[in-house]
Amino acid sequence: MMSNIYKSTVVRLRIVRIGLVALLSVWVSGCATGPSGPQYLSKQEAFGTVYSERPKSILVVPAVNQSTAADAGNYYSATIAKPLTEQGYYVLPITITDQILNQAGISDGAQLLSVPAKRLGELFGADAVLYVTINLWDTNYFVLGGNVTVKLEYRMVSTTTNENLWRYKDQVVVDTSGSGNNGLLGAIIETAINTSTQDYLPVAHQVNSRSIYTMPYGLYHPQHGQDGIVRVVNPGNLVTVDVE
Amino acid sequence: MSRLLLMLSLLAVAGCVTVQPGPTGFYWSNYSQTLYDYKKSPNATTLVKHKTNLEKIISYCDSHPQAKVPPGIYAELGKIYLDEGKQDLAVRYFNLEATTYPESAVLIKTLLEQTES
Repeated sequence: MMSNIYKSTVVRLRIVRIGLVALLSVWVSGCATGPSGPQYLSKQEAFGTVYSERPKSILVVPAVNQSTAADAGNYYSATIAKPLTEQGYYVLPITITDQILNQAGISDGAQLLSVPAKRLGELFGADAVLYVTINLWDTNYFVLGGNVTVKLEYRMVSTTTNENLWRYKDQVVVDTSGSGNNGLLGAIIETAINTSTQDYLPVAHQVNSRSIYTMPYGLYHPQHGQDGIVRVVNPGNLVTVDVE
Repeated sequence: MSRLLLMLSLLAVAGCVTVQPGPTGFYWSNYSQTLYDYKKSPNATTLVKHKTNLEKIISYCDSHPQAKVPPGIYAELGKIYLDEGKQDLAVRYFNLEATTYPESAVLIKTLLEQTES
């Protein structure tokens, strides 16, 4: 009886030790290969057609919101223009293009999925259309912490060929816990503020920037046409198959 | 308690305001914030705040040669003027968008047609 307990404890300890070694090696290898590691694709490898087609202007259409957060579309559209222009593209004024689409009875991105990008290109004079699906916008609130998990899938389509120019998906978890410098009660209050009434614009901006960053530079970026060799594209974030 | 909440939320808002332009030189001020506030609750107050922000972006860029008015800002302000019935100002800002960014030509043509009718 005693020896049985002893044996199982030893086995358990061994499993824990193996687990720790495995964890450590994962952690070490994770450090060794930085964001420029060989597993990352270059922009040219991933999005070669952008370099041959050189789109200059982008029409951003309303998001397809599949998340439970009704406001997620607003967070997306209020923060998408900045990173796109920083990447060097002319972005048609979203408030105006949204209004025009609205007048045509379109307020949700899902209504546009059957409209060819080419048609939208003619109407607005855009070289490409950017679609997004918000798959997830989840807020988790714990007593002493909280986070927001956001999952988005982007698709930039050529208005001359109707082909995909750039497709990317990303999921980020943003910690919304307080800084924790105000003692226990302060931390609880801070977390409550951050997670329930917090404005999620910085979260939305972070998500959008992270993905748009992998897009080849547009005309207004000083390194336009010279960033093909930059390895920043995570192959795990590429979208190659349509999920219906 | 409510004062603490207010202070904390003010701090949170202040933390969001980023003004540093990137390599493109586009100056956005806190565009996302005033736009979101307006989208969230469209009313006269949030609209005026957003409009003031657009005007601020333009005046900042006028006095800072290294800063550039980002795509769409002139047009967006022009559209607000148009909705206010200030047609002359609207036309002026639509044309500013078109001359600064030739990529806007088709959209600006549509907007100018709307202005005349």
